[in-house]
Amino acid sequence: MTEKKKDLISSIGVLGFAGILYQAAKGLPTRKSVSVVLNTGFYPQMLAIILAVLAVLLLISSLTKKTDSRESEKFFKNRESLGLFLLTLLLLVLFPLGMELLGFIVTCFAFILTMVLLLTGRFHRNVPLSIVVSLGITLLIYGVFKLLLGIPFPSGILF
Amino acid sequence: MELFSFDLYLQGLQFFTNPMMFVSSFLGVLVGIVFGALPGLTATMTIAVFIPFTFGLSPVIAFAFLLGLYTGSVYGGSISAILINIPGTPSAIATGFDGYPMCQQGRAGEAIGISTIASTFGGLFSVIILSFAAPFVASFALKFSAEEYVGITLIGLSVIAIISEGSTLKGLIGGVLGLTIGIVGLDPITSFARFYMGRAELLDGINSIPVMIGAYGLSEMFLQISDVKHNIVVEQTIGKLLPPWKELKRIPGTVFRSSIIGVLIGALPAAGGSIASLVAYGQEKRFGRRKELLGTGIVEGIAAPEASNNASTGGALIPMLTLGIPGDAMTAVLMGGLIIQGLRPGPLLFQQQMPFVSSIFLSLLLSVLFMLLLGLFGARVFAKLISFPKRYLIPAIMVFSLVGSYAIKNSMFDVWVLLIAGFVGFILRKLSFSIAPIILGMILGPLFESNLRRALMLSKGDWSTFIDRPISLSCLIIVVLVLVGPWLMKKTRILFALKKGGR
Repeated sequence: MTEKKKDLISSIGVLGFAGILYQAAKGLPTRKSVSVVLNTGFYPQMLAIILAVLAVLLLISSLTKKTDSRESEKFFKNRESLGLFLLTLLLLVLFPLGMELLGFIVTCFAFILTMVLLLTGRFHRNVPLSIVVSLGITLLIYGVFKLLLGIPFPSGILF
Repeated sequence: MELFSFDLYLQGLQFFTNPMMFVSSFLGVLVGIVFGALPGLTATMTIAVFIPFTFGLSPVIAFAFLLGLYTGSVYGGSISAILINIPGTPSAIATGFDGYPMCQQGRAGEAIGISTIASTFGGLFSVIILSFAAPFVASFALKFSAEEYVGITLIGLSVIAIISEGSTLKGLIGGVLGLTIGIVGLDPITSFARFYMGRAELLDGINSIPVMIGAYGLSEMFLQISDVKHNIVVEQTIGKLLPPWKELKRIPGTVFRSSIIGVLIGALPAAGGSIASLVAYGQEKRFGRRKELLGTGIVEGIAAPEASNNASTGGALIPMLTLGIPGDAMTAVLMGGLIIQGLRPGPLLFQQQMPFVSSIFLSLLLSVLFMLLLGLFGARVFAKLISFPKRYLIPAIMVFSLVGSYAIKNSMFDVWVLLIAGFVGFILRKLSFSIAPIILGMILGPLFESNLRRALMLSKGDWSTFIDRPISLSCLIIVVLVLVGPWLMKKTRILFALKKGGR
């Protein structure tokens, strides 16, 4: 993706966000009898207008910018990195759910081990070492947060 | 407020009878150097990820740890810059200019030694300036009204928009997006709930710590995965640590000059160590005795940026502690750590919590001394860290981030805030947005809104109140100069070049 394309996407996205923010702020209660500053919607609307102006300026500058294909870079380096990213995202979303269901230690260990194996790559995996390191990190985090700082983790059906 | 009284600086000594102060400061520096030395893990990210470790600690001990992290990670960034020419933190970019060539000459240890000595001097210099300048600025800031705070906030946001990576427009958009995060929750004037989506957790606003951990920590891990950086492993070895005396005696002038530059730039709202180190290197290139040799691997080329970036640490704490306006992204995160301890930075902190402020000066001093010891005696171990496999580090940092966010209020809601912030931060960084303006905007949002609306209420909606007061007017002029200055200079240069060409 070139810088020009990035700027175009950014300006349209920010413009859309500014529009939604402005509309949402309009719905906040307004009293005609008091100064406009005292109204709840004043400040969000002001920010929405500033954002819209900046987004339009970015849009203009991106439209006038020349495309330089040398600065083009892929959003994801290759298909594997996209797959790895999506899997990581899924694991992260599952983490809080797993913590409430299975408990902290099991979820933490399972998350770290899966991530280590995913990041190692198929041909260089050393499963016993990965298990030992994952367990070590889990116990370190548990020791610091639970035993040292006294954070009450959800225990779930396991521990 | 009493100024320049030694009593003022000794009030914090009482806390140092507790050995935990030394332990937390030492651990902070150690962890800071370790994370700072790892390429790709910035000092800001390190502080954000480790803030949750300070929950439950007393504010003085917590801040001794955080200041240790701050000092250690800024210094640690130089190790990877010297050994593999990849700065561990942005403030070490200029260190690699001469550090790496020196390493290629087989003098990596000496380069790290010079970096340690220069960083220590810069750090000590900044502590001295901080402890004398901060009470003075705080007493001056007591006279500030809402208009001045609006002006200073705008300076901060415009400077960070200019200096952060990517275009200025995107920096400004980032700053306003950050201010937008601050509008969730109760209206500071009318107390009406805004954009809280029916969640009681959002009535107090979006918790800034999970946002910071997500935007810096989690998004960085996503970037490493998407750019396949987690497979990179490099190794380096280092020899003797101290360069010969004839080399050492070349640096005092450079170190002193660069330390002054570092403190001054650090004290500017939003301009931090990376700018300070580049400016110091630039000055060395203009005024240094061996300026023509810079870039070939000489000691001055390492001493200048390292003294400067460490001197900026104390400098950046001046606006944060005295005005409640962070000097850079790192101090914005540090300010978050201060707020969760129930302390609000600003001039009143000096009136109401002077022993705490005094302990900050002493903790920073202690962390610089620990940095010297760890830097000289642990350099060989830290050099090995750059080859630490990322496949273990990435999951560990992710879990630290998840658990740390949960631990703030024992709330799963904050974990979801972290995940959203991490994902949005990743998308924004991929679109060439810098995270620093967003975080600064978020931190400054409540201060900016309440002061802007208070000033407008008192003036009955008359915006000229911001140009009627001299300090406020000066701030606005600075904002305009900061934003329009580079563009004007560019246009003038083109005009002159055209005129010259036309002759």
